[in-house]
Amino acid sequence: MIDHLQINKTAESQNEYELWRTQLNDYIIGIGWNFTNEYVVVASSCGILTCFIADNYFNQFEVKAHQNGLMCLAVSPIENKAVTTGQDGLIKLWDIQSGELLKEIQSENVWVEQAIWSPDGKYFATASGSIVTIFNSNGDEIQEFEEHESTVSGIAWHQNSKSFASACYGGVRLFELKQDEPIEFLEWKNSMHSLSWSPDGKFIGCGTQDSRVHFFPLPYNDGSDFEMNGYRGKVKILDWTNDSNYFLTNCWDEMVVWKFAGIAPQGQVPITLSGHMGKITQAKFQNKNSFLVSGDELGLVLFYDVEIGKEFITGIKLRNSVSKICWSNDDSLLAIGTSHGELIIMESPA
Amino acid sequence: MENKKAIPVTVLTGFLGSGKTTLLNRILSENHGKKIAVIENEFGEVGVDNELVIGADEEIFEMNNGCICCTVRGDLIRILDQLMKRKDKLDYIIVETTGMANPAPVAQTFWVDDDIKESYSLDAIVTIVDAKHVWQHIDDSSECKEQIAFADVILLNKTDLVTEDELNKLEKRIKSMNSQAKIHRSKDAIIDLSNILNINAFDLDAKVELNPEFLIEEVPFEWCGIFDFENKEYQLKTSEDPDPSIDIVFVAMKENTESEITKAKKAAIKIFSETYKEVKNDKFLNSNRTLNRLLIEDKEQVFYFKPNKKGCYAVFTQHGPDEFNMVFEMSGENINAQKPLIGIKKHIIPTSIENLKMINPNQVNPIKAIEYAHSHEHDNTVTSVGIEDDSALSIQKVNEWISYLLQNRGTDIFRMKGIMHIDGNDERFVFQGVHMLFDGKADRKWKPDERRRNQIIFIGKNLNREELLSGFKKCIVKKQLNFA
Repeated sequence: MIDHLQINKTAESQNEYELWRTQLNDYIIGIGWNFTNEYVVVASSCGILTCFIADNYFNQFEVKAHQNGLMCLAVSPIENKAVTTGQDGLIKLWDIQSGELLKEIQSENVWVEQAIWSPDGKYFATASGSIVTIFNSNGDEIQEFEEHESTVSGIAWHQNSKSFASACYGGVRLFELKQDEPIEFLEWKNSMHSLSWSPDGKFIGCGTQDSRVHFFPLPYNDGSDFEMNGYRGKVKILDWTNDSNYFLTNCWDEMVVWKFAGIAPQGQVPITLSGHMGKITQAKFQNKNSFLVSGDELGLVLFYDVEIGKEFITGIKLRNSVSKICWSNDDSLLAIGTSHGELIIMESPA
Repeated sequence: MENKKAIPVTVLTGFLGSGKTTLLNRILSENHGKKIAVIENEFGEVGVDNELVIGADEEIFEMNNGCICCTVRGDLIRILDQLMKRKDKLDYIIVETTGMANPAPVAQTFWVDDDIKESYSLDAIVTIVDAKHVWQHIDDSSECKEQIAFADVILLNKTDLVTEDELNKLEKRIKSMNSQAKIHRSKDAIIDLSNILNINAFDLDAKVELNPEFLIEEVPFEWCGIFDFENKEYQLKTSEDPDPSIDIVFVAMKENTESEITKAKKAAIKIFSETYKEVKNDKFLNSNRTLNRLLIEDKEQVFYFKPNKKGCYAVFTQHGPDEFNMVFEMSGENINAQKPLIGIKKHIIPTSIENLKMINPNQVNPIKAIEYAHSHEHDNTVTSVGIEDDSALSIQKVNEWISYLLQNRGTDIFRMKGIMHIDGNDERFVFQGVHMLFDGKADRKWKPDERRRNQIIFIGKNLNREELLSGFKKCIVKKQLNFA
């Protein structure tokens, strides 16, 4: 374990909710909370993985996780484990209490761009090039799926942790663990660059290259898919409330929230949340509520209550573009990272 | 506030073995102090141990219904997006394409994708050509033609393997396809990097200047002879018919000087785009500033002409005179009879003055002969078409014309760029396009003593010069005469 380092707390907190902030080496590309919300783990794009004790801003460990760029961080929902992937082609499993490297896996491709834990924490899936690999929580490979015709741009687990979806150019594939072939191919001739599966399992949404969101209702019937268009720019942020009633998307300096409530929202007018002055880079619902936080390229962080449809506290201004936002599992804390390595931990204002 | 300065990107194309890898290694190992990332499709070729060499699987996809301009490189979008995620931005990106790649999807990625457009600027397309082996591909491979046609800079590499004459021939061939590319020669890809990086070829804010000689390489005629004619009757004889007709234009000149020849050539380019006058066997053709179309049959034919006055004339022919066994002779009495030099071949006008080897006593030879590159009109190969004209253009008509071209000719026009003289505007209008994508804006002001003019270049396949010129002409503002 690396020596504990004390992080300087800023002389003046920026807002009444802020607990502490610190400066890391590089662009913050990933943030995750452990299942007890005790530790916050932060990944910088230069390859460094850092773990802090959330309530007293002590550095638990800091390690150079990847030689080239670090691409993805995923923290287990049930154990003190985290997975990192990098531009060095490595998948690494870490103990986030000790900083110990538990497992190192070399992928077939150079970049490993995706890693995501199943909701029950028994598995994690990674994507490297056109291959999706499923590992158990010890980092042992369970299955490999090579079905994709191009690089996998997104993976999303079903809440049952037994099936998952993968997106690439040409559509979305649904897989079930222990079956080699996809159980369904949701074809759409476009490049899907983001993917999200509603917690109730009824909808899969994808951001497409031509600035739309394409939806596949499940169970899927041919022709039942539909699209939301009119977006300014690509839709990279896709997030559902836990009850699947609201679906969050970014539209340049605004957020567009669609009300689903189990049925498709065609013909409805979405909720538009404004207030940002620059392009929104991050936005996330709380895990259990319809409060959300959003950050933009100018460093402005705003909070909204979707039920009310507007901001509910004054925003926070950071120096650089907001690069990552992550609520703690119990929604009591919030971690915000920036493109220049600034990390802010605050209590939830909700 | 984020630093929004766009990172320049050079696209490096060229067939396998042309020297791309050698050049990349040179760029990466040179002590330039820049942080350069290389995205390469043929991963593992670059020998330099560099963490910023990124392998990519070429993923070309269409964004919309097979529209060619919406064909982009998905892998590039993803990788470039990821490369933005660092505190210290990169100084430069080089995208190496596979030997068989069409550069269009790469270039279009930088026009079509909003995020990429915001963070990166396409600097130039650089194509490396193997000076010895390119001849194996240049006529048959569409990829080879596309790589040459799309290039802003062409590096003729491996010059040590060919002779100077072969190099000149290759350079001429390349210029006929792409008159705008800057051509450099190299051995072992040794080249001053300032010639290939930071060119600003796609930047409308940069100084937009087209190669002033671009018209020289693309004219609607292949030959010009300068003659001293008397005010007498002459005959023009042909005896071969590779084509059913040949176009010919006479332009009177004040004297036989370079500047007069240049003037005559410009006049001839214009006349060649005008309506032709058909001339049959045994008939007179017009000997000044008229497009004569001689109808050719497979037999010896005679056409007559009589210059209005004695003096120097430039005669422009659509094809080389040797293709039709074309010869000029005095009618009647042999006044200027010359002694035969070496009577090897009869009835052939020398294509260049250096080749003057024959003579028939009545034949009138040019005092100077100039060959031009073949214009390749109406065929499916890759060519450049240049338009240069001083007339003021109507912005509305220009919009209509360009819209028409983008919609109807966008597939065949690989690249276009130019400067326009818009009526009533004190600024130059600069533009460029890749297939159906177009970008144009008002540039700097015309200088007080500057000649306001239009310079437009199209590079592509199946280009119809007459159609392009006719479209351009419709944009010219017709000045109305006002009487006080």
